[in-house]
Amino acid sequence: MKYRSIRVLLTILLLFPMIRAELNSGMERVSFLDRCYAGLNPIAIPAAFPLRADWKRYLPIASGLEYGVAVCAGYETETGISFETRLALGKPHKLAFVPQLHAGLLYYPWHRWEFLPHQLYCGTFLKFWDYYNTLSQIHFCNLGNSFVIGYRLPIRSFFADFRINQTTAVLSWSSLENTGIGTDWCFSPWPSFFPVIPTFTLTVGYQLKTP
Amino acid sequence: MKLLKSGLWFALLLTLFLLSCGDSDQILHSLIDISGAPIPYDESNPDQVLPVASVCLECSRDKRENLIKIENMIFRIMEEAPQTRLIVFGETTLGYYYGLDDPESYQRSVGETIPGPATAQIGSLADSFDVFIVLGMSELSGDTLYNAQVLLNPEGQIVAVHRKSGFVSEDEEAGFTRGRHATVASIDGIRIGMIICADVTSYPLTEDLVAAEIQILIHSLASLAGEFRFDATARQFNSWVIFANRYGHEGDQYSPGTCHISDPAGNVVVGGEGQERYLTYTIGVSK
Repeated sequence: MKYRSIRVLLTILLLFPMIRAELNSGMERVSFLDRCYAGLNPIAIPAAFPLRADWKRYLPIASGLEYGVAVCAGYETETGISFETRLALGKPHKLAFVPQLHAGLLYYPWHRWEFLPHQLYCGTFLKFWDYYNTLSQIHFCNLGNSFVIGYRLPIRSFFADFRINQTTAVLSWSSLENTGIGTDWCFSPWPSFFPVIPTFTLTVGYQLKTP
Repeated sequence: MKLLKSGLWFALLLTLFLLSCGDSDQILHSLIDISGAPIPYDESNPDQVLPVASVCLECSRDKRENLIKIENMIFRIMEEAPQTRLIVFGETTLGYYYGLDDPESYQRSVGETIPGPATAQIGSLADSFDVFIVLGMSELSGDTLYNAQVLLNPEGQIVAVHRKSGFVSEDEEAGFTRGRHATVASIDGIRIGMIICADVTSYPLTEDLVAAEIQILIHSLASLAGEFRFDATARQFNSWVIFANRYGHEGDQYSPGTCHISDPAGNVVVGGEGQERYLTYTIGVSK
């Protein structure tokens, strides 16, 4: 009987933060704008600069293959789901211009449980990018998906978001004559170098609602 | 006030965008250049065809040995694939490219004038077999040393000489002088562009060859890189690419012998690595 009471007490203690979070969430009312956020990928900017060969080759892994100005905007729901879009406009070098548009869904599984890493999330993105050869004026368009795992660190109204992206499949087509549509599993753009190459994204941004 | 804030943000983003549009003339491929799925290319109705061979040679330090190897390779190709119209060898095939203690004096020792004994020797084979041959070699022009690529026609005459302009440290250490021009030639009416290895990083050269609407790019290399899912060079120049390389150890450097032929969409239609070899393919070009 004594042990049963202790077990009940322990269970209540463990569940208390979750129950409190659930009760509080019902009272919280925030406007649409308060749930929006916007950010910028600061690593994408130098990725487009003329750099030393090694930096030029490998820095894009840290910029999530985004070059130039890469911005994002998102909306967080009450249920721990965020919708995010990203736009990147930049030139990896003088020959190519690569606009990118990403749209995705992020889920914070522990968003109400403060004693757990509640800013940890996972998600998936659909990515479109157009590798445009500015000399031949030929487009190489791609539609791919990626899975992400990330962590958002809030700092007052600002945040820093660290993310690992893994592309899995791509569909590609081109404006080049005599070409069709190609599809392929794509865990790495350079399999002979490494069969799986995830990329990383750092986003610094602003959210109206202070957590 | 809000309008002013928005304007400032817009100005900041515009400035970052303009800053990031680097105007360097060096094209350094990164992962984005090789990202995406291979795109199928239909070559079933070409206007013209050209049977070609791309050679991956294991070079020796000794020039005479290399010339014998080159001759033997030409004999072998013309015996096994007699329809071949163009044979392409890699960069500086008269000797080593890597692993040299005194690269400048070595490259001068294996270098020759163009025309010279080596071009005469290989030219006589081009004449005998009625075939175009591209040979990478160190060229001596007076006191000046070039990393060159020579195109010999089926009469054994020199049709074009390309001198490398996109240098890596090995070229600097060997005391090569940079070439200045893009090189365009014609083989049976097909427009051919010629580049050597890191020339691929040159924007002005790319600009000239794309403007010349080349149909096939001859790319001779001494590359240490492995195979790619597709050839970004083909997409860069909008042309077929004949990628001829070298194989084996030179000093402490090892070349896996990556060698391929790719279509204008970058698909490697025939390729491989891991041995001294040649690859053949009948390229079908559209006007």
